[in-house]
Amino acid sequence: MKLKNEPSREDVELTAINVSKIYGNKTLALDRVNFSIKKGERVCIVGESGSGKTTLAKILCGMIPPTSGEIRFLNKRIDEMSEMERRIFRIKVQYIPQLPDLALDPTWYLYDSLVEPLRIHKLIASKQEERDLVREICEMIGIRMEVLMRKPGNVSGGELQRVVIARAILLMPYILIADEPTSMLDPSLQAKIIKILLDIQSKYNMGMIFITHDLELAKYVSNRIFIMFKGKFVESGLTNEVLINPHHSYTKSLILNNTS
Amino acid sequence: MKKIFAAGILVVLTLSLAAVYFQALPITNQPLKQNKTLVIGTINLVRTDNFVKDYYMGIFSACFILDPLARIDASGKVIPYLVNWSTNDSRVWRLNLIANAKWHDGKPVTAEDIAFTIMYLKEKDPNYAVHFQFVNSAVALDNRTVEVTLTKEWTAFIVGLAATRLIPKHVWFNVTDPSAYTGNNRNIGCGPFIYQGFDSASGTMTFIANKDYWKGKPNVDKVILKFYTTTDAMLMALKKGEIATTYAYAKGIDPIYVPSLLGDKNITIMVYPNFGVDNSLWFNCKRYPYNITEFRIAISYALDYGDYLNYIAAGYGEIPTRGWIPNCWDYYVIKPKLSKNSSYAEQLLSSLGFFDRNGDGWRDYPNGTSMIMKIIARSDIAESLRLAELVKRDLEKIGIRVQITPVDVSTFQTLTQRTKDFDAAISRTTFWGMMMYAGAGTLYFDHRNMGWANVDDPEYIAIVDEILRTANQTRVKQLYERIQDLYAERMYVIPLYWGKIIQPYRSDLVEGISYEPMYGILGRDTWYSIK
Amino acid sequence: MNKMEIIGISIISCIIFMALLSFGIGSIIDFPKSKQYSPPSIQNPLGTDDLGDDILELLIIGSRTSLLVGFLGALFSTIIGTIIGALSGFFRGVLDDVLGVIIDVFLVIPALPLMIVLAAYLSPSFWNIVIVIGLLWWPTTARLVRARAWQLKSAPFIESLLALGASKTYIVFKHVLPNVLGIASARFILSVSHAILIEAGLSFIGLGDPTNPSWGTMLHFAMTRGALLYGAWWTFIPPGLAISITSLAFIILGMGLEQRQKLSTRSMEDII
Ligand SMILES: Nc1ncnc2c1ncn2[C@@H]1O[C@H](COP(=O)(O)OP(=O)(O)O)[C@@H](O)[C@H]1O
Ligand SMILES: [Mg+2]
Repeated sequence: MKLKNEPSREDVELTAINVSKIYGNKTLALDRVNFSIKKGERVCIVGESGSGKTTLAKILCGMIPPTSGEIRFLNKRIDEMSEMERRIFRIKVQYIPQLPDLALDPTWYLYDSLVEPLRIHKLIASKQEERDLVREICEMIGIRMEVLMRKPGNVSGGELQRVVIARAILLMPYILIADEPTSMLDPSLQAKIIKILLDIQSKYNMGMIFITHDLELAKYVSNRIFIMFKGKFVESGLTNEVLINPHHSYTKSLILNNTS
Repeated sequence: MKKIFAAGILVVLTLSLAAVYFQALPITNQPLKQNKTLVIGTINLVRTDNFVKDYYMGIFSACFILDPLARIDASGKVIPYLVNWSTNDSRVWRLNLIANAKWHDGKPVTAEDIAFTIMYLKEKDPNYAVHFQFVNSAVALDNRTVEVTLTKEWTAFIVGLAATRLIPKHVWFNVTDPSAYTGNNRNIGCGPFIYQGFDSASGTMTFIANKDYWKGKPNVDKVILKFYTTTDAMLMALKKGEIATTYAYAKGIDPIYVPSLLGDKNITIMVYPNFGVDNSLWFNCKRYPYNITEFRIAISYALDYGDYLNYIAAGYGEIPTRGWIPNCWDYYVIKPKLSKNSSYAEQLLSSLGFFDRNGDGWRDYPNGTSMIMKIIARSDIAESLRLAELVKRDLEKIGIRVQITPVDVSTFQTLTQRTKDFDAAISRTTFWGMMMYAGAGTLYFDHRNMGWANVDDPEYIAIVDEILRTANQTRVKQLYERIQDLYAERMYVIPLYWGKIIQPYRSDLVEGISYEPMYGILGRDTWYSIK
Repeated sequence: MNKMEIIGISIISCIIFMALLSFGIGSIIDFPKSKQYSPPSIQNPLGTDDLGDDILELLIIGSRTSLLVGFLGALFSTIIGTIIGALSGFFRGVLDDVLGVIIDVFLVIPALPLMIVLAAYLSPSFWNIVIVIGLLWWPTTARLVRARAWQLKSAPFIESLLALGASKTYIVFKHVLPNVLGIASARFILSVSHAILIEAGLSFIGLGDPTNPSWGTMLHFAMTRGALLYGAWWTFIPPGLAISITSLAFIILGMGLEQRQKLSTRSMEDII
């Protein structure tokens, strides 16, 4: 599987430098955060609900602008990119949103939603090519084709989440941000979805950001971890080191709560 | 839930509307005769009490406040009132003030006032442009004599005198725009009643009897006009005894209401002849194909006159004759009654080339294009629309496609009188309209005048011109007879029915009402005959 | 289907059937005339009016105009309201401020008197009535659609489309409009009921098209030709009831649809 306009480089890096976000002049959601991820890395961001994880994810993929600080992709500030560079950024950094039920247009057939990003960016030449690509992805992720002939209201949470993941994967991103991808699913499904994501990551050598509040999961999927508390990273480092030897009191309480 | 509730209320309202009718009507019988106050209901709504600006205020001020120079008697003849007149050549007229009249503010009425009124109204009031169209000058020779000079011989000049509402020079001489004048003395006249006031909130207007009126004090002390927006409400009030009688200018009540009044023993219904033609189908005689006499005649055979009489006039009236002029006029000539003959109408139309050429079931123009006859009717007059509907059905039965265009008063006037942009129209005429210009309805026909029918037939025009300059009454009558021949032969206008004036009153509240063709029961005679 | 929808739909089907029937029975001209204001009898089951026309036939023929004006007026107002609401809610900014002011102005000015003035100014005709209803009845729809479009703007699938670089016009027409269609169709059904009432009201006061027989014109001529004083209740009760029942049916159906709309989007409203 190969898409047009792929920059032929291996040194892909997505960086956040001193990023702050204030919502509506009062909520400080992010406070001078520094973060970076390279192609091939698996990184976890862990923090309790409301700590600013989603905000950071949205800023990283350019969905919302930061109040201050900068985001760099391929060594270029994303707000200073040319149209061409911007297009590549939009294709190559993908975000899987937190809520699967409104992650896709409820009035659209899943097939159309699935291929919509390809169509918007005119990444494929023919209907035939499109169908082949979809078939390939669906096989890989485990989506039955007839599911795609339905609308979001008529499929299960697991199926929907797979389609949302497939939609992001179709674009062959360098960096994939998965925002609590399993929080709405029951445990048996959770494991399957995580496995799919990890398989894809290694197959295409993507950089993958997992956002979660589950330390066990973090331990399992990531080699680097960031602990977020009230809009700040209070601790970061190799996952094993941080979890075995936490410095910050918040990390300690997290570990305590998780094990109990 | 609120909406369901609202719709539920709607259902209840509809049902209660029915209940309103079935509820007994309480009669609050006030002996109006004793305190000598007469309450009259009317649907002729006055919006502002300026008689130049407001049409119906003009009518009511003529009935109560302002005196005319001449009057029209019950047979339709012009007779002296404030003035007498003489002329040798029908061009220079002498008006002689014969009444010892006084204005409501005590000042005497003089020849100056008469001369002033004629020239002032001619200049300022568009309604008088027709009455005084040939007036060149009016000068007071002394206290009692006015000399009026016309631009040409005109025997019908005195008809205008009957329409003239004398106004005081000392009030109006420096008012430049009478329709905007709001001075407190704006309703001073020399008539039998003194204006007291208009209460637009309660919809009443009050007049007090003038003790010093030159003909003597009227038999009532006070008259109150009550305005109603619907005939239903007005007649309901009549049934309850809140009003003694009803009034509509040049019109009675819609005859369809008669059956609902007949059962009431206190209500008496008077039926008077209508000198106007109740409703006619007016053709634009300059527009093709209505300029074809045979075409108009064909249409006159398509109409079911019996239906109009039954459904519109509720049987109160008669089927007109072909001469258009109603049979109450003294110059009326007997003509054959109009009658329906569809096969003749169809045959005539086909022979003129108006038959269905494209197979759609409708007659087309001889050149093959499809024909549609647009009839305009007044949207504010229900009978007019209903009549138009019946005419439409009759014409559609013989294959003429018809479209009714409902229009308001001012659009109707614009289309029929100014732009002449219409095929046919449905409208009635008034007694006064029949009198004006050369009389016999010429005002409504002659294309040089108001001319709804837009007639430019040279033969017709010649007769009108001769009437205008003829003083000899025998000759005028001959001409009127000749004009009826033309009406019958050329069918410029088809009379649809001749109605009657239907005037109800409560015999327990008022008696001795008189009637005259011009102002109906609000003529001068009523004030002295009423008991 | 909920109970309300079933009730609404069954009444409406009856009335639509009536309107269809009118094409079969042809024009009132084809019927023999009876005496004016004859009370109900075997020959004229609902009596006759001032022209001796059969009330039942008129009722059936009139249903056509009443329904058609209702549908077209509602359609017109719903289309205007939906497009303005969707654009305004989605784009926000200056466009929304301007459209918001327009919506507010239209909401504040009393619609009925304005309609009366407009209808009086335009000459009475079928299309003018439709236009008057359409032009003045859209703001409520626009306001609801605007609120929904605003909510949609922060729905994840729209955010992700924005992040993907999809154009805003594309999003409005491909995603926002289909998503407000549910609420718009519920509004449409409610508007039909309003439009039918407005048509009846305008016709009743003589601003309708008197040449197109409708229930409103039947009432108009009953009131202006003395039916009330005559006691000819059969001339105004049937059209009055027909208007009330029809608009009630559309209100019930519309409320049923609106309820369903609320249920299906509860999750979204709760979370956003
Ligand atoms: N669109 C927004 N407007 C205002 N405040 C917001 C918005 N999105 C998030 N927030 C606030 O910012 C903070 C961080 O939220 P979020 O990034 O969603 O946290 P998390 O994903 O860790 O649960 C919270 O206090 C949240 O209420
Ligand atoms: Mg979150």
